[in-house]
Amino acid sequence: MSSLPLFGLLILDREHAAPVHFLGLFQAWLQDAGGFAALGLLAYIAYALRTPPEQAESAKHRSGVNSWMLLMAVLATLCYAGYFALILTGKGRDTVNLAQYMQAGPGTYVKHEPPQFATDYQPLVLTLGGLFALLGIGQPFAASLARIRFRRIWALTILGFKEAVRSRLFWVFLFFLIPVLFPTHWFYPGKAEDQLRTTIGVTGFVSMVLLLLSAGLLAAFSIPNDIKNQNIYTVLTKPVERFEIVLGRFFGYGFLLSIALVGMTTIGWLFIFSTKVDESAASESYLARDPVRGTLEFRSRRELRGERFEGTNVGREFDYRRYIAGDPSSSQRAVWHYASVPSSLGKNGDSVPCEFTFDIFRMTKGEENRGVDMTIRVVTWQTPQIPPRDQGDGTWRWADPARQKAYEDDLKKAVEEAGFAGQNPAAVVAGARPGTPAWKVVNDLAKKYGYYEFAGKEVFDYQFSKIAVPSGIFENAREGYPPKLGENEPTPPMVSVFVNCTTRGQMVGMAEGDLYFLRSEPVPSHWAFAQNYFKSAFGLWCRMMLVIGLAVTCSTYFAGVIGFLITAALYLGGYFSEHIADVAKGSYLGGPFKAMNQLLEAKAPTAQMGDTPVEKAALTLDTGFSWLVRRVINLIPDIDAFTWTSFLSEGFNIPPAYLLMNLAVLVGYLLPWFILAFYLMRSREVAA
Amino acid sequence: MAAEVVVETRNLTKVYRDFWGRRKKVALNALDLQIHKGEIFGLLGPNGSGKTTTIKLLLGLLFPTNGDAFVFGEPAAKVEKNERIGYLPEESYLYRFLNAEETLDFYGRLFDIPSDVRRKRAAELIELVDLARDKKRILREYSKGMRQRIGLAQALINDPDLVILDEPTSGLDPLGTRWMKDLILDLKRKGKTVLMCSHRLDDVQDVCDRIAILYGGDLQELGAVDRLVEDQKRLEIRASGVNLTDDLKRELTAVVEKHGGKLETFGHPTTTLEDLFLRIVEESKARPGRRFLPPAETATATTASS
Repeated sequence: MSSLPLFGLLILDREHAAPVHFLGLFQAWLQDAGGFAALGLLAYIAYALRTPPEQAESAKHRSGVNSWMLLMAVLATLCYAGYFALILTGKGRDTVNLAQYMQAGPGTYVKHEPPQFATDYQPLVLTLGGLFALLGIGQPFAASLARIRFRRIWALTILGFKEAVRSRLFWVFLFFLIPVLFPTHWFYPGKAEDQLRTTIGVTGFVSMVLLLLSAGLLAAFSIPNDIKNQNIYTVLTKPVERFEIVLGRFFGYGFLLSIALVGMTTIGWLFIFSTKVDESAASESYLARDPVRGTLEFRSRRELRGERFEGTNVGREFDYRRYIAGDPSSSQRAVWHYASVPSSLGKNGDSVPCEFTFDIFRMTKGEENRGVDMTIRVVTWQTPQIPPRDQGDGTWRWADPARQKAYEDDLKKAVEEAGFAGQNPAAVVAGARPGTPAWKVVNDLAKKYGYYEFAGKEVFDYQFSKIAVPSGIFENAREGYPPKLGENEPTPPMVSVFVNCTTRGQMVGMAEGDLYFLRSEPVPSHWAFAQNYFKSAFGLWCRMMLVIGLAVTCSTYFAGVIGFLITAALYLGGYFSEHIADVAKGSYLGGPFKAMNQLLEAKAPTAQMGDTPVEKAALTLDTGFSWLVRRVINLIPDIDAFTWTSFLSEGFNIPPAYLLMNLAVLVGYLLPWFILAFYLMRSREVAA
Repeated sequence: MAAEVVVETRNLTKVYRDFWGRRKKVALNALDLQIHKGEIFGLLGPNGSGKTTTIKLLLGLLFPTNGDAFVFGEPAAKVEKNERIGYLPEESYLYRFLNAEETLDFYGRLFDIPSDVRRKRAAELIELVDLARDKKRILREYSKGMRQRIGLAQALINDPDLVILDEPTSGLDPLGTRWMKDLILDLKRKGKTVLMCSHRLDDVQDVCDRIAILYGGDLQELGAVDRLVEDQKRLEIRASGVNLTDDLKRELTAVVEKHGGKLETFGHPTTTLEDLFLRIVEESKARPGRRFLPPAETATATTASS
């Protein structure tokens, strides 16, 4: 799913890879890249063994097979044979990642989570097979890397740099950049609060198109042009490893375009900095919120009957959000669980901001200029909640009534002691604000009981709202660890946030990214925004280097135009990876062969296939097509993983750890391509 | 003691194939030759005879279909051998957006030469090829002769032991040609080995010690230039102190002595390399399959046929 913000909201339908996901990602990489490596290794050995023993020294030197490669090929083959045996016997299936992959139908909202490290036999054997294949095919590549000299790489880097600069690319670049230097809202008039979002969106898009197009064109035509102009003769007749040319081009164009990116980002930031930004826009986007996110679960009294409530689908085509009914008697709750609580949360000050943005689906017109009322209850693992049993009762209760009673008594007593004698304790709690005496009462009780409730919070459709949560809640949560409830039961969360709507006749839509705690109170600041602005450019840098790497690899074998088109197809495929995954899974109404059959037979796409040989053949071919697409999907880069524009425009901090993982993913993606480039370059007769 | 072999080809064959793997053209057929240290070796042949293919195979720019090539005892596919090779291509295939200084600096870096040595050597070479005044101009602005000069400079940036020159005098004016030939002879004096191919036979005759003549991918002739240009079927007598009359022509040797003259030279007359080249090409056309056989093989072949 696209990560572009809808309705000005940050949509987190995917979890960005963090260092904690590294092992799982590495295992997935070994499996995917290793699969391609195994094919390559077998093809290479088959080719090399074709060379007769009396063949020339040069041929052996060029495509030699050493004992290490043979050993790795044998080990990889054994692993893959073992893997297929496990598949046939149905043993050792990946119980961790497979369910997520196969669970949803087409168009269904799936939160894409990074793969986890699996210790079942099938994934382990597959990982080992991939590892051996990579070690085998990568050995000559690694040996070549050992012979590489920085001075030569640098010479080739500077060459690429000078070539691009002296081909007047810079001026073309500037020419296309001019329109971006004008205020964006001249062209795209919109709401005042969206001023920064629009500016960021437009400058981000223009920068991306300019940089990626330049990167693709420069890199795809580089080596083919060298071969066509025969400049490569004078380079390859020097002691240059052929792969150094690939690296030189990669770094040369990368260096040049990195300078361009830094320049464009700086100009963009200076432009925003020097432009008068509307106050409402600044308050929403000039921030670098540092959210702590939980996982979302929908609950209701149905669970007392052993049923699950998964939120209501209101029929919107884009089912990113699920809805709960608004009514005081409704037991439906959206519950955010926090399995762990960062130590920094609640350490400074007596409150922690909790921010949220919901979608209101109105069943009735409601009151004009009036939002809906929400109740937010924050509890720790020490205060578990249970749904009401009675149909007309919407209030959730404490699992331990005695503890609830003790809380109510303590509340009454504390309110009186704090000088609010005679006042309704609930009203005192409702009116408490951080820094006030009433808040101290609230905080102390939250610390003691792990419970806080904010009732009657008015919320508007797609507008940021915020409440203060007493930091005592988090202190209470950190007093110990929640006990496991049973052998197969998951560990209860440290903190849970229960949200319900009390306005009758309205539905409120929520998704996991809609509610979060903030590590600190965000203050609109140029500096925080600037940091975030430059961090978001790192995502674009990764995409740019990815395009350069892909295009240079393609250019080692294909003509410039073909290389550019392949690069463009792979990159753009990254934007449709979810659709391609659906095709691969066969989630749609069949494949292209079934579709062709339905067209020729003038049948509806949904019509059942019969038993005729043609129809059976179509279904078989579709199965083969689906298998093929599943292999191809691993070649497509995960573009969304490098997109941070929405974080920036919505004022969310981009964690440096995420950027580090971006770099790891980039290296992981490009490494197999570079191994391919190494072999293609080595086997190419440049003068033929 | 036999001189060190710098370049050796064994049964070196290159066949170009089409997309389907079918034979399209045999560019080089079972070439066997050796080039020794310190000699200037010329590869001659008409267009498409396999000269440039041989050079590209030696440099690893093409891969042999059969046989092998060795330079300094290393297979041609090995990159390390290039440390000791300087190569001037037929056209000056240099980066035209660089100037002379940048060009030499770039190629110097490819040899991993330290910067101070690189700069010093680049300055010397720019002086040598007489481009000091134009060293800041980009190569796009150079004439063909100037590009040939800077091309030669880049071939010498690593002070190579083997210099491979493909049409070195191409694009040079007579003065430039003289300068290039002197430079090649100077390289020989410094103990370098030179392999060159050229269409300009007078140039080859002036500088080469040995030559190989290729036609249709086959080696047609191989040997020392002096020996090859000898006309083995004729004798030459050089005399002085007598007038050359018809009688004198009829009774050559005896008459010289009879008339009290002094016989100064006596031997085979030499022809020009151009004549030799044209004769071999004509013979090759007339007798397809004609190949050069080394002297030992020639003797064997003669014995066998008799």
